Amino acid sequence: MAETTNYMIAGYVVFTIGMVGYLVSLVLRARSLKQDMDVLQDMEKKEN
Amino acid sequence: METKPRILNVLDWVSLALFVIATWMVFFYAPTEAIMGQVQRVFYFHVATAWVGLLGFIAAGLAGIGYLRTNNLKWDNASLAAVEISLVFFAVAIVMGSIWARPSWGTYWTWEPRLTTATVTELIYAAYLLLRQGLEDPERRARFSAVYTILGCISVPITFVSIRLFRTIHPVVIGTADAGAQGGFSMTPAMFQTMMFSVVTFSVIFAALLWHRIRLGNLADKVEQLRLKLAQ
Repeated sequence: MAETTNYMIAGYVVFTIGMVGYLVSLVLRARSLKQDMDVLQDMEKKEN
Repeated sequence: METKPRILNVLDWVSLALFVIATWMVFFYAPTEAIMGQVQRVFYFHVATAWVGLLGFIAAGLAGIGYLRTNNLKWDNASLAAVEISLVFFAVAIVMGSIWARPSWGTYWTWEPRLTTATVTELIYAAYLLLRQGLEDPERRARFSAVYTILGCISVPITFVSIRLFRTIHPVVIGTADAGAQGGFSMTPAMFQTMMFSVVTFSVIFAALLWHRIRLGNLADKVEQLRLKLAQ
């Protein structure tokens, strides 16, 4: 049997980076949009 | 953002539970392949991520049809969400496959039919995001994007059947491989169960991510509308 453990680890490192990276990007974008929404709603209240 | 629906909460927890079980099956349930050794374990999530990638591209095409039939921008939002998630999953599948190929084929990359069609598919949908950025008017952007995703869908079956139609070294997981295929293996029942469980797991994860991404798109639309209202 070939010794290929390092390749397996590399494969799952790539998988983890891809998945975690995407999840973090979703969370950050949602947080940023919520902040924008709060600011805009405050501005709307002040205008009215 | 609207309150998170309870069913989405359930879907998140189901996704997490399935993912934990799938990971356990990959590392502890499926046996080590006799010739390739440990790297064969990459295969389970490679197949599952590739499946989700292609599934999302098809979903984007269906959402494109939905937009053209209804002119409702919610379909455009769903289409964008599906493409974005699929691009990530498909890129991961391509890189994982490339890492598996090194000990199996002796090279990280070769321009054989499956790798070539997969790369073309990934680039087609990467170009979709660029196309969207170049169009300001939401209606026009949605119309062009819908047509694009419908036409882009053609690349999905081509990618899927490429290893069955052409001479290739890429192994066929289910069915008969070309005589020149390298790195193929006979799946034991435990291997097959692990692969199928991973595919189901990633399909559920895709559904959860799609819902989250659509909600994000809805929030972005609301922010944009409020911004325009205040600018007037």
